[in-house]
Amino acid sequence: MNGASPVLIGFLVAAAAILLVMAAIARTTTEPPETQAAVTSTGYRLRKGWLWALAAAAVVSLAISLPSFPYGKPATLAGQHFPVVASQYSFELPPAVPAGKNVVFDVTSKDVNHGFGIYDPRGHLVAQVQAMPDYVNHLPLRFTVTGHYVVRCLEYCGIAHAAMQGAFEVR
Amino acid sequence: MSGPRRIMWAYLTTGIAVFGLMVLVGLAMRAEQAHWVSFDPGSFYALMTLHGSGMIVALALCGMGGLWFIMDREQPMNQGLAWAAYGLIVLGVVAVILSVFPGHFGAAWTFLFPLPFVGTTWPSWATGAFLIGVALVMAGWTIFCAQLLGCVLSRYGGLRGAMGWDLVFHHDAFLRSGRPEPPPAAFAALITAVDGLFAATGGMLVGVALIIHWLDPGVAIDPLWAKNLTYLFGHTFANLTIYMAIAFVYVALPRYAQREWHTSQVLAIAWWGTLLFVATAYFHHLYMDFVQPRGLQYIGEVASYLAAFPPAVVTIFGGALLVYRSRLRWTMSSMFLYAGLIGWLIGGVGALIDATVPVNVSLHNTLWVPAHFHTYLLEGVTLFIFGWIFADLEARTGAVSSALTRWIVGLGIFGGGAILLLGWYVAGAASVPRRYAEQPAPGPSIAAWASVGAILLIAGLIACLFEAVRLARTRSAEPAL
Amino acid sequence: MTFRQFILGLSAIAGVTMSTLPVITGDKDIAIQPHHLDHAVLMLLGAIAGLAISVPRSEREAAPWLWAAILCPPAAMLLMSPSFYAVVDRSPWLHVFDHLVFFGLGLVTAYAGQRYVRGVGVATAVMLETMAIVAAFGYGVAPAAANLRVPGAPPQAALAGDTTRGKTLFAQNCAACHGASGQGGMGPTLTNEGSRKNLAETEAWIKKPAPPMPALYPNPLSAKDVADVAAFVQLLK
Repeated sequence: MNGASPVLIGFLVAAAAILLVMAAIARTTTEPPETQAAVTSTGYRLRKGWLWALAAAAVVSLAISLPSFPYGKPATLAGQHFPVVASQYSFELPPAVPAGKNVVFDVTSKDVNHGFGIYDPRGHLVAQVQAMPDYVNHLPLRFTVTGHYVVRCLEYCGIAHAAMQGAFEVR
Repeated sequence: MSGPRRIMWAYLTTGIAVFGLMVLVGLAMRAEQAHWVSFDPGSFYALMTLHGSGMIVALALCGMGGLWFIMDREQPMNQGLAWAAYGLIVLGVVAVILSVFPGHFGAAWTFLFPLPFVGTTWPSWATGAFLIGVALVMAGWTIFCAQLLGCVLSRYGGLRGAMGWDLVFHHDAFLRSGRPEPPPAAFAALITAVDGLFAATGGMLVGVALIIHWLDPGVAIDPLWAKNLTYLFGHTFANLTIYMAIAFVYVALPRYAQREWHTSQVLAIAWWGTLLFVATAYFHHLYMDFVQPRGLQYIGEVASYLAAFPPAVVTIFGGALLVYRSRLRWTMSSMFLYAGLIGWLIGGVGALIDATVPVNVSLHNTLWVPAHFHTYLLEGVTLFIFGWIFADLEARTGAVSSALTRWIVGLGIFGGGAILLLGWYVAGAASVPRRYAEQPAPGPSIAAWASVGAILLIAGLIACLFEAVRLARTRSAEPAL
Repeated sequence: MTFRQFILGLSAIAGVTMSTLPVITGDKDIAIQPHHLDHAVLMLLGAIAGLAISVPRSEREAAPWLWAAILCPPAAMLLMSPSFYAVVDRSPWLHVFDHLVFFGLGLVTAYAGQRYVRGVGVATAVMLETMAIVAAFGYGVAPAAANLRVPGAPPQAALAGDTTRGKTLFAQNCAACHGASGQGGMGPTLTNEGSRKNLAETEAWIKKPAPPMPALYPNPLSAKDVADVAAFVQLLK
């Protein structure tokens, strides 16, 4: 484990909340029953609130996430370009990449689809892009942490997929 | 047994049999990742291919049988076509199994071109057998979808009637007209039919292209094009296994709660949304393809978010409201149906997190993916199917399982399942990639305790099977379902 | 004449006229993408004709018709196989017949679906037409080489062969059948080959051709030779 992941904690909290609420609702079947008509009107009011709450959450999430989409047009991507060529079952990688500067990985594949997944020195997946034959994917990045980065294939590509690795230094 | 019921049970028993086998295959994969057993990567990926394709077809078969039976009661359908679809799918499953044993085909069921043709370790005939197997399944699926579509169109007065257009926009006039109102399950049928034919469109096209390429390697295929169509087919088909099984909740849960589940205007509109979003959400599989037109990436995130609204606001909320302070009888069936709603919702949360592009950067193709889809397939769809099977058994025999049995089954399936699922979530958050025969740390240690969860789950499933057989053998009065 | 008959007649006339295009335009080689789209139009006209034929209202499913409605779309996609085009292209009249078959498949898909249950024919027609249009964007169509052009260090250097060397090798080994500039002769034309096969597929084909083309790999052409020739063939216009 690489310390506490906010994504995991957020998910577990949500899952626990769902479980508790749904269990509480299931418990009400032991209480004196009410008619369907009696619970429906309150239920529909609640449902409206639930819809608006969900809509608000979705809008906030979209507003936060849309500006941080990782896509860029090759022409507008400033920074030093590094070619990455994947093939069954290895990567042709630059030996070293500068820290603190904009860099762009131009990623392609010689044979099948591969994934170019960059793991930082602590083992976290920090960025990835698909390596496709006939196409070049441009992955803009800016490294802040120096050290040894491991590259793993993140698209199933054949028998030695799990062993397909590479590495580069960020200096 | 009546003709339609026999058809349903043929689909259900075949689906459950395949499901059971694939559970064991899944355990073998997890145990291999935990280093409990050891086999070569080629066998691991062949099993992975079998597990994925087998499970999707197993869940689809169960959903199809049940939904066909439900809609057949609305308007009788041609039984010959239902048997033909069944036969084609069974043939397809046999071809897929042959491609894996002895063929050793291991490209994964949603392989991405040019994969099964470049750098492969299995004979070419195995690739062909797999492609033809999938084509047969798709042919059966297309018949089923066309039949469902024909059923709802002729029963409710064309597309307008089946979609509940007048029910929504001319509510009072519609009620006065005395035209048949589509029940909630009919919406599941319509959306399954339309989106199912849409999935088949993509699947047939890429399938023919791949078969042609198999015969003549000179025929070019654009890899990005193939990727889009593969996921259009794979995502939509897998997603529809959920929406088919919702019909079971609509029909069976109200009976246990002794309440009614009506077609409201909101329910109709929610299903219109589902119709649209199920067909457009697949773009989230291509988030890491930066050459994909950028507008499609935005559509992917928005559609994935919106796809959650109809279930969360209408079906799951409606199910909870149906149960709230009702006279619900807790039986195996109602327990499964209700628990399935919980699993579906929790899996949906996991899916929404992953559908957010900046988060997807660090979760795409990690174990977070199997984590969330197993949550709503294993603790959602599967439970709806079990709920439906037990609903039929309980209605037919009048027998009820003891509380002790329910606890044993529940502990195994929900408790063991939770441990199994947590393993994927934790490993996914720790950046362990999916589809690795040999995982980097902390993968193997997590796989070990996840395998314990899988064994508990299987114990629960076995207890559940015994209980189902016991109920089935209890002779009884009239079928009431 | 009813409106239905008018539409039926119109689409049939348009379909048959369009089918004769290869005879009118001569035996011109066209790229796969417009060729697919051409067929998509033929299928659309067929489907319109099929939907224009009135069908009896029936309460029951006419089950046998469903088979025709769902088997025609994949059959049409099989016929749209780019390797099949090469055969059909040799004779304009065979080509016209091929076009009439596409029109017919569109017609049967729609009409049979309608006969099965009214309304289903619209769905099957939409399926067929969607397939036909989408096929133009990837089935037998390789991505444009422009995709591989990269600012900075170009990775295609690692992929592509040496075209200058390829040209020499082509003149020595291929020109006898395919013509000095790939215009064709005893063998088929190779102009615009880049729109039919991508580099990898051209290489794969040269390494393992179908008769009557002889296999020149591994002798006299080495793997490097094949890569160079393939790179040159990709450039032929």
